[in-house]
Amino acid sequence: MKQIKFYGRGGQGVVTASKIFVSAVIQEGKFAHAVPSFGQERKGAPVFAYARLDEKPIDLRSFVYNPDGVIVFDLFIRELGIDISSGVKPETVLVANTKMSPEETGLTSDFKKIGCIDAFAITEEILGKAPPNAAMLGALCKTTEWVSLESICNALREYLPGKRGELNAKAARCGFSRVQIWKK
Amino acid sequence: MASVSKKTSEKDYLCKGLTTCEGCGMELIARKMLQILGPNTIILTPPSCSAILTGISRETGWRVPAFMSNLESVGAYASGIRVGLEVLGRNDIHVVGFAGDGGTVDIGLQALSGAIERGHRFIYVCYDNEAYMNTGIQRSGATTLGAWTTTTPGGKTNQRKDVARMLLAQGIPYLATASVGYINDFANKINKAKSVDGPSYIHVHTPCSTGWRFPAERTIEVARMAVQTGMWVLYEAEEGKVRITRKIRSFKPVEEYLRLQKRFSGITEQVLQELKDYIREGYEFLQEREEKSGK
Amino acid sequence: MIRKAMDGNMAAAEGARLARVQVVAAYPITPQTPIVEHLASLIAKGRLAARYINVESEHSALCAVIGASLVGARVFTATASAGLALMHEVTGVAAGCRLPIVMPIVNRALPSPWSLWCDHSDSMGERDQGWIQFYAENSQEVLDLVILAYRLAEDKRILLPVNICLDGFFLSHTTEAVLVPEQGEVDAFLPPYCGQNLILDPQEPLAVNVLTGPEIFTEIKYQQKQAMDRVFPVMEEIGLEFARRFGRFYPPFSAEFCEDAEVILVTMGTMSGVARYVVKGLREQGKRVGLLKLRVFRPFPGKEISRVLRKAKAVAVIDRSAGLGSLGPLSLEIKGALYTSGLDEAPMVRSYIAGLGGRDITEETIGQVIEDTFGTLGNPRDEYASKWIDLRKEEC
Repeated sequence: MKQIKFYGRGGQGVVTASKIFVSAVIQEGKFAHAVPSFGQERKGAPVFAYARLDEKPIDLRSFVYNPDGVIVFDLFIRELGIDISSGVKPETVLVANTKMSPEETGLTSDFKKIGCIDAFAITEEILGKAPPNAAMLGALCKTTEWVSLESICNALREYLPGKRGELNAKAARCGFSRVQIWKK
Repeated sequence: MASVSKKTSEKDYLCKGLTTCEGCGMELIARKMLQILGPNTIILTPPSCSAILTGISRETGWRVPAFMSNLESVGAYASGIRVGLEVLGRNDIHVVGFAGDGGTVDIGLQALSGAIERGHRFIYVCYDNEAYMNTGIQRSGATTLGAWTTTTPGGKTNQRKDVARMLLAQGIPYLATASVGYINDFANKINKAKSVDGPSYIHVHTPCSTGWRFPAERTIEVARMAVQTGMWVLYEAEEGKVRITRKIRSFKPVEEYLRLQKRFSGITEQVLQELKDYIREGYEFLQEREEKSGK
Repeated sequence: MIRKAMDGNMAAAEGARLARVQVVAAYPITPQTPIVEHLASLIAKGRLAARYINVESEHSALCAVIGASLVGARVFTATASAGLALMHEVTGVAAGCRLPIVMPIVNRALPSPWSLWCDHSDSMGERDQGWIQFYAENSQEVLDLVILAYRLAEDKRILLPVNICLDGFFLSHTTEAVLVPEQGEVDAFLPPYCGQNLILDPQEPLAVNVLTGPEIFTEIKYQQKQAMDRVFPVMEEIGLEFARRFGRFYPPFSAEFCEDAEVILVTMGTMSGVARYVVKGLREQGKRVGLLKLRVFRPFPGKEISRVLRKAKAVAVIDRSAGLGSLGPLSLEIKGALYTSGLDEAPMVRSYIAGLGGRDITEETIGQVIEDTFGTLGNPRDEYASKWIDLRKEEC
């Protein structure tokens, strides 16, 4: 079983991304679930979501405290006093939306593998004003290897039918190809 | 549940020999209402004097289907019944809420207003006896200023809440006031409500011998005096167009109405004046609306 | 049957769609809102041949579906927390009029103080109102139980309304894989509803829900009790048919690792999954611990439960509601069931309160409950109290 914690801010599509990720895993015939953390909705406020995936049905349903994967939609969230390294294990993987390279994040001592992606730039380029979640999912896919890019693109197309879905799939592919990966 | 007594005449859908008080105006309007609406009617009554018609244990007064609703939700039950009937393709049935002033202007106002907003086809008849009579004469929002009740022992200190006027402001396809003292006027209004494709509301002034303290044989006289003094105005509004159905050229002094009932025996000069102002303002408002309606 | 990702709310709405409900009346309240939004959208798009009544309160929501049910329509509503409390006056009317209404409760703590988050205080407040109460663990159960609930509620031997309780957010907003049956398969299992008991129909006039005197009130209540008594046999029959058609069987409770267990944990709702995870882990270490997950709280399967629990040395019950002034309500039921069996010496029953107002019931919480209970073996305590296991003592 892999456990994931998503960090982001209201309006960045964090909860939606966790659901699309889970839909993609489920399409592959595996088991997964996404548990949002839930507060009063407010744009810009810190948002968390949790996900689990496994080859067999998953009993656990609580929040994730010791993630195998940490997905951060906005590294600035650290400046709000949120510790994205909280509860990580030696083999935990990080995917972060940032213009910085993995080495520049100052997080190489906390994670085994780091994928950095400028998801805002990709989104701007392909989708215009939109949340960065499709590009993030592409980067997550490449960095963790827990789900295929094809499944992510299918899940995006299912969630957003028509042209919007195609463009989001394109953003995911772009996130997949542009992510900079650093390994311990 | 309760079965139906066969001992009624063919055209009467309410049994005789009910246990309402002597001289009860409510029973009279219920009977008249059903004579016009006929047997294809479902009646809703909240816990109130009208519940006496709905019956107890194995007996009921209605020869039509009836449901004892909760006090505050006649409008909501009526909505569900109407939509249920529509879903099942049964569009030939009248749905009628029959509630007192307490269940209408106080606790039931929210559900009533919601049902009217949604535009369901149903007829809501409020028999207004100006207090919570079934629990033994407690004040309601419809109680007249200065009236004695068991919870206003020194006389009511507020003017009555005019829900017909509130609903006129909300907007409703058909709205009318009526009085048990003018039964043909009431019958005409039920007849109109019968064919309205949407909600209709009829607010019927229904003097109560027990609660207002007048002899049982004078119910009709008291009701007529209310209209003749302007304490109660008979009008209707079709799609908001107001028409006063019984115009009064010169009102009788309101004292003649008050004097008939012991509930006003402690009234002060100041309250009397406020009632006179209330009558004048109420009638002028309706006259203005009538003029604007292009009559 | 297709496998689809959906959350508990969507599963409830999809269950209602597959059950071909005809009238929906509902008032939005967090965390139930997505159920009614989804149904409103299905109806607006013509994907569900039903009418949606936009009522102005939860009280009116239940009254409206009672009204529609009284003329013979299949009806649905859903609510949570304060909305359910507002309905309380009429939940008894739905049950007393023997109407087969299905109403999910998306569990959320009752104020005060205000909370948006999960506990069972709302549905526990309705436990003696004459409704069948299911507690679901996952979205699959939610969808299946909605369909099963209509079949059970509409059975002539039952005619009782049903609540499907699903934990707010932990289930209502958790996306996971659900097997969605085909419409044709559901139609074969659940025939169209035909109202035939207390029906408002001018062809056969009946006065329903009238004032009822002491000479007959008791007997009418007793008829409700008799219907409750028939729930388990009828549910087994219906449940077996459901299992034959859909491959999933839903008994009133599931006992896992209980045969030789010294300590048995009793849970309801989503905490059951966490508990199963912990119990499996401890079993691998050779610890003799079992799990009894309760699915039907009303009627309470006390007799059957006592047969399972009697073999243990101690039972640990976790309540997700405070049971103020007494113990947690589930623990009281368990104690009652064990005391009346009178056959063997009853095990000690430990009452734990956890997960109030959205507090996560974690592996650690469950671990502490089990450890605490094992600690009492051979060390019986004379106490009548609930232990608040996840309390932050520094805040008290």
